[in-house]
Amino acid sequence: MKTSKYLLILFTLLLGSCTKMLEVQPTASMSAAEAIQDKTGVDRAITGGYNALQAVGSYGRNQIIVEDLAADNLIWTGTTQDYAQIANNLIAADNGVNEGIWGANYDCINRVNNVLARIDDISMTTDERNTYSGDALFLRALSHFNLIGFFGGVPIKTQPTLDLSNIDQARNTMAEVYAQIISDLLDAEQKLPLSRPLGKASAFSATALLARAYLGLFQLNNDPAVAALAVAKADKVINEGGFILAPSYGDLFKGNTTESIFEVAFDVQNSNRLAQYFFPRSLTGRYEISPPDAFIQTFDAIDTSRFNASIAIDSTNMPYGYKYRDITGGTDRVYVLRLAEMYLIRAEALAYSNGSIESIQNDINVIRNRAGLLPVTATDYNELKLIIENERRHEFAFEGQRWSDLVRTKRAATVLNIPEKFTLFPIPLSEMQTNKKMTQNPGY
Amino acid sequence: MTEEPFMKKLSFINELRLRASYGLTGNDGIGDFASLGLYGGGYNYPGSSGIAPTQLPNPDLKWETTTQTDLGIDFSLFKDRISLNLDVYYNHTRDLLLDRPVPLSTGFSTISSNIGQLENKGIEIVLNTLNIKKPFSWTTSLNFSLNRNKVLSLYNNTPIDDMGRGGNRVMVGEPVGIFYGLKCLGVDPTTGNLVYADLNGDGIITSDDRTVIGNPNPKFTGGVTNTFSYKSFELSIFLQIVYGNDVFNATNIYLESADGIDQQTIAMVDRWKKPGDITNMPRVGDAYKSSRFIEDGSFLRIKNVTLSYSFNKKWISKIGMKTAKLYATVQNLFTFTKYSGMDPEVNYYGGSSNIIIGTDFFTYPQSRTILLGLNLVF
Repeated sequence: MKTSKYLLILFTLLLGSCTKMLEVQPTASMSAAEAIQDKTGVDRAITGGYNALQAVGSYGRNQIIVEDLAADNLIWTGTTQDYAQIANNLIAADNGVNEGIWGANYDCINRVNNVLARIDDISMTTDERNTYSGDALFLRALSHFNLIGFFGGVPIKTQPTLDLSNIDQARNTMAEVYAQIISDLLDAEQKLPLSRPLGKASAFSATALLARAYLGLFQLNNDPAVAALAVAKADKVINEGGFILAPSYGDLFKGNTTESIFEVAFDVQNSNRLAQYFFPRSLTGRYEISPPDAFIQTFDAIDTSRFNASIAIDSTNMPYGYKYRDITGGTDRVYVLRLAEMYLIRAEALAYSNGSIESIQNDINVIRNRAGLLPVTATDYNELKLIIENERRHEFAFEGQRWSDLVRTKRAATVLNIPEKFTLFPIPLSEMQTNKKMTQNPGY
Repeated sequence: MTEEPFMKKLSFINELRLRASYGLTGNDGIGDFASLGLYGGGYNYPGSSGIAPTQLPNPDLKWETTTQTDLGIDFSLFKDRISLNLDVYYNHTRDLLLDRPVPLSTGFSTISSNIGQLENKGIEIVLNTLNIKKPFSWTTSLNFSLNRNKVLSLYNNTPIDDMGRGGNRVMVGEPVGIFYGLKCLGVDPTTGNLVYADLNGDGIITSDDRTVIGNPNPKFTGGVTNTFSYKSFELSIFLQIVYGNDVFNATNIYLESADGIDQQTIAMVDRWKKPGDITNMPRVGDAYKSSRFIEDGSFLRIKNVTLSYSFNKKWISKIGMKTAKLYATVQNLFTFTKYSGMDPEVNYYGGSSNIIIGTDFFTYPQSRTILLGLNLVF
């Protein structure tokens, strides 16, 4: 077939009668210009953006595992050497998992930037345009947010990469990246529908991520006005979102959907390998990571509903992370934002900005009550801050939050007993070598 | 040259020929549509099918060209008892076609480009000798090749780094695919930890301390076939030699890791156990691609031994056959090597890359096969 095409070209040239060259178009893939030129193209390109969240470097695996492994909820018990470095907080710049996180988030950003760059020229209804744009902005904000959680200030990308111009881009500051994230989310909040199917972002997904972003920015700049914004966004999700806490904590991992604000959907064709990485070998898992005794001991004796939903013990007495359970199909849903976090964001923003003690207690107690624990009575801010930290650790174990929690509150070095410089991951070696304007984090 | 008058007196020379050639060849090993910006399908999300950018455009992509300069001499002596072909070559490749890395922050990892220049120079020798003539005859065929390649330039002189499980690298001034990693100095007797060379002297071990730790390209390769025949019996032995190449034994990252999962090599018996132990095997494995896993991949292999017996033509022609030959062949009979893995000649990446070479990662060795056969021609 190929030969005949070339022969055709040859004959065309020999005959000299054609006025233009024969251009063969690819069949298995399409040129970038053709890909996004109508509504169907936009829809598929946005689907491609959501698909990026399923990547190994994102919620498909390492956003979840690395957050807890670099912190103190998981230890390395497997064979993947890159995880050993992360567990020891001695990450080489050429660590593949580290590079994968960087690459997956920028891949997502580039996918949606391609849509944002073209969508205004494509005919569709205003609602459709708003939804697709909102999806793109939400995904871009989430990716930038996950990048700063590991790497600190990173280059902000708002244009698609179409050629080799501008591929060298310097880092922005954390504050600048936060400003971009917040601006994208405020826009997405206006554009996205109030309700979406599971796995797609709604306006409240954007609001909830805004609450998280404002909290992060507040912990960075200590501006009480920003803390108030975090509180306001959390309020909005709690009061107007229509989300309901799962009646029992265990329901969250047995099909409850009322608490989910945004999650990454998986099915058999688009699966994750979380269960496989968490499950012990007696249950055909890889047991790459597992909860250490030190973490198990921190569960309150009566915190059984959370413990039993989070950690199981196999027949050989090995504890393993138990939130992802479909080892054969890999279809476990992966929470990105759920209602419980909004209460704890509000509590943290208030506790660090000397807010109402009673409100802080109330928010913590909503979470403790659902877990079957006694209400807190502490009135000291420092005590409350530690209670919130502890509550988050147990509420969101293996949900990809712990490292960012400790870094955000500047507690990582103390809690994990590591040098302050290692609270940022290294910029991947490949980026350092190819991006002339990139600078490495200190200590690497 | 044997036709020249001054050569006629030298009757022991049957043939003597000098060759020189110079040429340009193009390599169009460019994938279809490699110059276009592309989107691909299959980037799906439950319930919907999706697309994503898969390739950056490079409108400037063109063929790579190699200038080949070759000088050769062929001669045979003593009624063709000894014949020799010797070639010396120098190949200079321009517009070298490789996937050049781009920052991952672009959303892409590489772009197909003409990124540099490469030289290959070497010697190739083929020597055939008829050592003893009938009735017992012994012939030897020997080939030898030596190649040195060196990357002369790369785009912005940016190396293509850390490819594959052994950390192959393409960098200016070095052969293609050298191993680049930390230099392991041994085990600290007090702690049992591995000690690496802090080459930039900043007090910490980082990827900046990496250096060239091995070269997967052999210093030379060769083969010798000796054929002995007596009456209807013939014995042929082919020896293969590869000398001076390094192998990155990535298998041992797991087999000497003490990770509690993988089976371990017997070398782990001598691991560091208590302060004061002097050993090369650390307390626990670690993740760095270091010279610890570099081994000498030189080998001499008895690649093929064939013993055959040809039946007398007079007899077999009676039943209508032209030839009938009974033979026994052993492939890969034995390999002399210091390499600790299963086979020094394998590469886990399966030959589909010209950069990821010389790396062993649980690769199956070549099998020893024994064949008994009967070859009949009617």
